[in-house]
Amino acid sequence: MLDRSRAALTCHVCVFLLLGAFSALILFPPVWALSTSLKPDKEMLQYPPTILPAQWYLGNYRALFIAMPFARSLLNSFIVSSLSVCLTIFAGLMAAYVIARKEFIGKELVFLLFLLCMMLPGLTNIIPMFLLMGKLKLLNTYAALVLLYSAGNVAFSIWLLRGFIASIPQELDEAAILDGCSQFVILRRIIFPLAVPGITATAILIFISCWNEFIVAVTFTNKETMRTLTVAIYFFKTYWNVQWGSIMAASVLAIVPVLAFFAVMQRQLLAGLTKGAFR
Amino acid sequence: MNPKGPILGLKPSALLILVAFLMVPALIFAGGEKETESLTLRILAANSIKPMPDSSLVDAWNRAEEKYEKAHPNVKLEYEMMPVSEIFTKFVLLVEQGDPPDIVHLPDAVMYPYAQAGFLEDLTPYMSNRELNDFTDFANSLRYDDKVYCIPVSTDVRVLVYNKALFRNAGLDEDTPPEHWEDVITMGKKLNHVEGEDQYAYGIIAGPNFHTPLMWMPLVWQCGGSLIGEGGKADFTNDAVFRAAGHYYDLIYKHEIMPKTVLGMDEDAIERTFLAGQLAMAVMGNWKFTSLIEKGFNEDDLGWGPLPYPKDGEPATLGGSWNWAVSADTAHPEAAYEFIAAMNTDEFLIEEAQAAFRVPVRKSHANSARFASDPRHKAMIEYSVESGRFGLDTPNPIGFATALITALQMYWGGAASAEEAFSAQEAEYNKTLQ
Amino acid sequence: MMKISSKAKTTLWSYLWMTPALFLVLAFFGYSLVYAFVISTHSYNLMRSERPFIGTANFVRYLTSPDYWQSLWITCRFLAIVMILVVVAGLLFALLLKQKVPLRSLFRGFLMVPWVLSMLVTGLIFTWIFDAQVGILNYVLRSVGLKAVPWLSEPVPAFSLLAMAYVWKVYPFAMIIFLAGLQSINDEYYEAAAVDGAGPITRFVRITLPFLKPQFLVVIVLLSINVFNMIDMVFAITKGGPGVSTRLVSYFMYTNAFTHMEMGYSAAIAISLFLVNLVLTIIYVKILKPEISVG
Repeated sequence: MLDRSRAALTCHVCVFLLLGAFSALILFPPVWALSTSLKPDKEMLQYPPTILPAQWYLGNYRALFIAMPFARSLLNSFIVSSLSVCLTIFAGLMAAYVIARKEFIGKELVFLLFLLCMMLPGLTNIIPMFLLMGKLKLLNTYAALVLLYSAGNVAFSIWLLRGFIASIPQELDEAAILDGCSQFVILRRIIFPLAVPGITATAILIFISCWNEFIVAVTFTNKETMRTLTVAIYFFKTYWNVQWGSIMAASVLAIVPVLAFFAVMQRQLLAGLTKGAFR
Repeated sequence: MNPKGPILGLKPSALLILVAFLMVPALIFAGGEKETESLTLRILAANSIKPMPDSSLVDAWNRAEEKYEKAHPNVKLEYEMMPVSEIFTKFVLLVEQGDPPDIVHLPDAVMYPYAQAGFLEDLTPYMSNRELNDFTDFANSLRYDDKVYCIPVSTDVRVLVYNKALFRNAGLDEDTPPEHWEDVITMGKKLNHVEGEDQYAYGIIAGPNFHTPLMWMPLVWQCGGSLIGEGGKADFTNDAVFRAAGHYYDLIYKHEIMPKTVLGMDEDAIERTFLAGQLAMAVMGNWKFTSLIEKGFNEDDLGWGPLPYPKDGEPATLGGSWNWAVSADTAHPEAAYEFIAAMNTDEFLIEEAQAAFRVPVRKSHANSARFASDPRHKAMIEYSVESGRFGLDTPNPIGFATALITALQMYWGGAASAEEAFSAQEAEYNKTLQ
Repeated sequence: MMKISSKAKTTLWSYLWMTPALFLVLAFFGYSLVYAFVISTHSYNLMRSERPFIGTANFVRYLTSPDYWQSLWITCRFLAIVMILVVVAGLLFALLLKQKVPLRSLFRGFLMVPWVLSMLVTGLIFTWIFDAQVGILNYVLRSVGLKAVPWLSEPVPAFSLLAMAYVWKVYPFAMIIFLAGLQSINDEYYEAAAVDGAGPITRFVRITLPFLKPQFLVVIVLLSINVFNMIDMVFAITKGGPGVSTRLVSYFMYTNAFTHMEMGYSAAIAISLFLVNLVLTIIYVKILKPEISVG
């Protein structure tokens, strides 16, 4: 008896230490970025490097807001990501519901279609979309990015949401039908509340994916005022002069909001994913 | 379980309405072109065009812009900026979909193909004879079909930059940089590993980026050869090329005065390595002077010299420029040219060349007394005007540079012999010209 | 009669409900795919105004191009390596996190951090850390007496750097999937096996692994798709170099489109990528089919 509990204790101590060690290792890159962002150019570029900044230098952060409309980039990223999440969940939830619950002609094909969309290399879309958006005069607008991000994420969200909905017992639906409820009401009153963890999880994933997206954003926005965060960071890596201080500071500012958001929602996210996302 | 609402805490139907509600103003607010009475000039430029807020050029720029705006109150200027690497593609894509900018600020590399493809407006008729005759040789070499399609602002050149402190520590005269390739080798051996294992004598940009071929190209000219043959085709398999590539190859492997890590270096990496005191000499652009000093390099220890050339060769270096051009499909070519002219006053051009340590493109400016006060700058200008050349007069300069990057990386990286690497890339490039 | 009409009614309803999703997907992906097919059969160079129809010439061109096959090979090698690392890391961390140790949620949060960074930012940060001359990693290596590694100037180190940055960024999603899977395994199985005298390793191999087959499938499929589309990180770190040693096929396609302006050729390559993705997915599904249910 004593042996077993001692073995368990040793095991737990080992696990704890391992987790601690791995966490430290994994967290090193962003922490190093933070440390670098607090050093002035001269200190940052010296060798051997200093581990911690000699003094906390906020000039890099100040420079961000002077050199370009960085605050605007933050706002742009936020708007585009939020709108994309709304549109994607809206379209995805309705589609996931019918795929999970209904039998209809061509169902296998439709599901396959959505699956295939996840496999098409995103780069294929850029040229035709660029030309299309140009004709529609939608370049340099939020609309272009939101539509593209939604289109890119809707298939994935359908895949995830379908799993969540499928885990909700069908008897509830049937009971509601017997009570005379319309499909829409069923979705709203029964499915929706129960699928909230799944929807939240999906929403978080999509938000993060849009917030961090780069290639599409850089292709479709030229104007400084319409730039998203990732593009703004890339801009610091100019041809002649890579301003590492600005890059690190901007990266930290890009990470912090999503990290905070994520920390708050961590519980929901994991609850959502564990509730049978992958049945 | 707490039945939390969706992300924004609303019921689905309300959510639907909210989505629609948000989409509409977003579409309008950030929408496309509006019909206005006034004229809008769209300027596509690399994000370096406007001086940084804390630079000395900012006032000059603002003054020029204000003067233009006062003279043309009905014109609205709209800048669209992006990284240099994107600007080539973005301009072509915009032309493709029929909505090009009116004015574009581009590097010299792409002028030839853009002019050839008909993307640019011929500006020769707008310029006065005085201006046309005042161009330096380098500026004139940018003409296509003897017409001016782009107007350079200033030129830069590739030079040898060196660390005087390391020279002193190695026992060498700090005011005598190497003049010939042979000197590089003898002096390099003394300068190698003076401050430890990681400090090397020589460094160049040899990573997979656009600068690599540009930094190396002049060596071919120094050997009396050329990389471009008839009709703009690539000619990589001649003795001058092999000799030029072999020189750097030997510096890495035979004399070991250049670290192999240069194969991963871009302009930023080499600057950092030089700043950290790990390179005694480096090939850089003259625009790096101000940057190095800003980043903390001791101005007194910063030396420069012309690019070393072989004893039996001739001095040569590569020049480059940033240029204004007008898009051929613009509806307002005169207005566009007027803007360019307003930003290209004698006053501004000289100030720009001074502040950024660059070379003027007008002969009258080059001889100006304003530069005489800084002997270093004056010497640089003389050197550039004498030996600076334009290196990319071929129909597909990007492909050309890419082919050279690949060939150089494969040869210097040891993945292929010089013959293999260069002949393969020469064939690859010439294929794209068909 | 009633049954048919009811199914028809359901079908109509269903498609109505799927309209937004279908619209997004067909308008964007459908249009792009059709467009890609169309221009892949033309000689479409942005710098030239003539765009003649050339049939399968673009396809022949890349099929006979050693550059293409080399990129494909590099991508497959990359995929194999990162897949092993991601699965191992994901599974390992999931197993560790399943144990009831104090501060478990905190560790879980820490280990998920890479997920919230973008590929681009990750690439930039790693480039900074791994800088051959002034990066902190080489400094540490030198301090302990090892030789500094020329990360970006030689093929193998550059490839490793790219793989490391990618794995760092991507493993959390595998970890979460495995964690979800592990938590769905009933503890009774383990207890029963322990009673039967099975050691921890046997329990792992005989119970845990089989139960996780669906999760393995999901991770592998999504990872493959992601790797074939990945270009942000190549952009940020190596740009395909040194030489062409890290030129993944997606980057190869991108440079053909945006550097050489060869739209038709790159569209043909895109179609090949799509087919590769498709084939990979079919293979995976076939191998792990018994454990998977759709719809």
